[in-house]
Amino acid sequence: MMLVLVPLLPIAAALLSLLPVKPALARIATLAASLAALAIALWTAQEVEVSGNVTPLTQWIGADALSVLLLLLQAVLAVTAALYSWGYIARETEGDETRERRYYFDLNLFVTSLFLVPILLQPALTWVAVELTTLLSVFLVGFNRTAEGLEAAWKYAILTIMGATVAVLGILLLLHGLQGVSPGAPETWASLAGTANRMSPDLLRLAFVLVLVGFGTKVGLFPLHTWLPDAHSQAPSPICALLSGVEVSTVLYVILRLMPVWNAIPQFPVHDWLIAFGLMSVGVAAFLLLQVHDFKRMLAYSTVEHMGIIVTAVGFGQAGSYAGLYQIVTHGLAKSLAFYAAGAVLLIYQTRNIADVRGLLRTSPFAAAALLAAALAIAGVPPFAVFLSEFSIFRSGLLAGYGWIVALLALLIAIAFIGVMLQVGRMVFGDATADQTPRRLPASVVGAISLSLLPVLVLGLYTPPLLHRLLTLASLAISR
Amino acid sequence: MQSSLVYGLNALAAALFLMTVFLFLASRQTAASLSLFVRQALLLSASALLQAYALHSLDLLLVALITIAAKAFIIPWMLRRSLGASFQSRREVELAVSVPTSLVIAIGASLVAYFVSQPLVGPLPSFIAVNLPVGLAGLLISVYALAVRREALPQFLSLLMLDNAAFFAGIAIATTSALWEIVAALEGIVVTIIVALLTRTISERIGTTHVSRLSGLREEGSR
Repeated sequence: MMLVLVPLLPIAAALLSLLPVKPALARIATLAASLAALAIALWTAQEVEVSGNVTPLTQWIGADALSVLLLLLQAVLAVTAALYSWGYIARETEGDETRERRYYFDLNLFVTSLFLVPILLQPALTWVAVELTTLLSVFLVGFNRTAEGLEAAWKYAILTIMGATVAVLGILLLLHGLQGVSPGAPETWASLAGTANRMSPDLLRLAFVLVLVGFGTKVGLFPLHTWLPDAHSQAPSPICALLSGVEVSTVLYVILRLMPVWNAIPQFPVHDWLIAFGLMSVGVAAFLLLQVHDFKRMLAYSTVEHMGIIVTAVGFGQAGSYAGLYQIVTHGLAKSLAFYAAGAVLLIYQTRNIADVRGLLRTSPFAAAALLAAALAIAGVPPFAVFLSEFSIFRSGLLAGYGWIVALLALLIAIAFIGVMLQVGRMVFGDATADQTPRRLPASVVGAISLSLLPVLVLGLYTPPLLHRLLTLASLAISR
Repeated sequence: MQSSLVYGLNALAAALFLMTVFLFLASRQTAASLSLFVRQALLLSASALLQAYALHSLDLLLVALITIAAKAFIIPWMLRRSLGASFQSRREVELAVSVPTSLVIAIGASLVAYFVSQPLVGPLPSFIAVNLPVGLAGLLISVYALAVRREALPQFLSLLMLDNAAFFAGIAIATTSALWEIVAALEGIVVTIIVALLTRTISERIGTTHVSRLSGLREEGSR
């Protein structure tokens, strides 16, 4: 029953955040709730490693390797975001305690919606949870209430709700197909996977297109990625870390969860569709990374690139699925680190304009080192974790006979690498701007960045057995 | 009531539903668009009621009643209450594409929806044979309507029409998922509250809800 507590913990923290007392209570409650959720996620992961799945509420709530993998990532990022927010939001809100409490209320509800997606066993309810991830984060995107922030929140709300509405028809078609071949069957992910090969191929094809286009919008896949750089750059940095690091992967989880269903469509090139959408997303993001002027937008484009890489990897088949899932983990960790580092730069320079940030190494060696490490990590340089996952993707693509696709993917990743390193190099090196007075970073910001750097480095050198086992089980589950 | 009569009445509701989508596409005033949304919600409820009667489904009856309450009364009331001035304005909504061109595109979308749905429905009269193509057509046309409207409120009304279209197909497809449909109907109210609040905040802070004037953020290639 412990798993049931996971979404309840941030709800409790959200309610505590509403109490009209000092914001310290909201900060402590948020951090404590996320730490407790992480502990439960770890315990669940160990249970899943042994027994394959955990089902505290049959047909309602449960977890297998795929869901617990995502839950673990969500919980880790919830902890670092809570820690980072402690000092960052206090400075952003400039002593406005009501606004700070409101932030923690919204943050906890958003985290609740994220936690719900992987543990719900019914696709229709998972769709509701996905929709909630948008609704509960809209005001976090527009938290600063600037014209640009509100514009980003608007685009985010309209486009992602539109995507979810298109996707829901796909999910309903699948449920219709399920009841057609197995009347009275529970409407769960497992039932869909088990009966897909008896459903009408026409129905599955239409459902696939609707789900891919609908949820693909929220994942940030080309051509409906346009809202992502806006929303992921305008929100406060800890929210950007959650949005870019794990929210997009949370929606991608739904597409991946349905892979056994899509694999059952006879004579339909599902994998080619995934590779095509993935490559187009990587290509568009790579070229936009060369032109970007705002360092938070740069990180958001890198998210579009990474989502494209993951979708391409899944298109390579089972070995690609393992590597793609590994990339979900490494992307989440590296991207959150990158947004935390970018938030530190923003606190020092009060601008997101790349041209206005020069000589960061002299102004703040810590922020410079963090940003440089994060840039190297997201660009896939060894020994950081993204290198290992991207290398595994290339290897799986070659083994599956996609040599030309791998070559093109490597070329586009190299272009993206150049884009990221050029922009970050300009910011980190050179002479500091004359009028720039160094500002001390809050201790929680330094702590969260240091904490986030650790797994990005460790996972590049060593894959813990638990993670390897979960990745193996999860890749088998989506490759059936 | 004979089943053929029920199917006939459902087909009539579907035809009128599709007509509201076309009228919405041609409509250039916000108040008229909202009125069309309410009528469309009533037709959606009518279809759910007919199916509830034919299938003896208490769940679908509940869905129909919740849809009437949420979409014909609560959502329009909330929108008028929070954004009343925008609905009183007689100014015409700015469109990116002319109305005749949009109508031709909508006819094309309807044909696509019909041909895509055909393999999924049997030769005998059924609710899905009518609701799926009409819902799918509504979905495609509403996405298009959202793309060509340049102001926040008309864009949001397009989103609500999109939701209606998905539901119109959904009530015939997933007759056993009433719980989800109830949750989704309530979720529609939450969507409205949040987007209405956002629209009002944009209006207060920026002084306009004209989306094309909200152009601080542009993709790098289009700068």
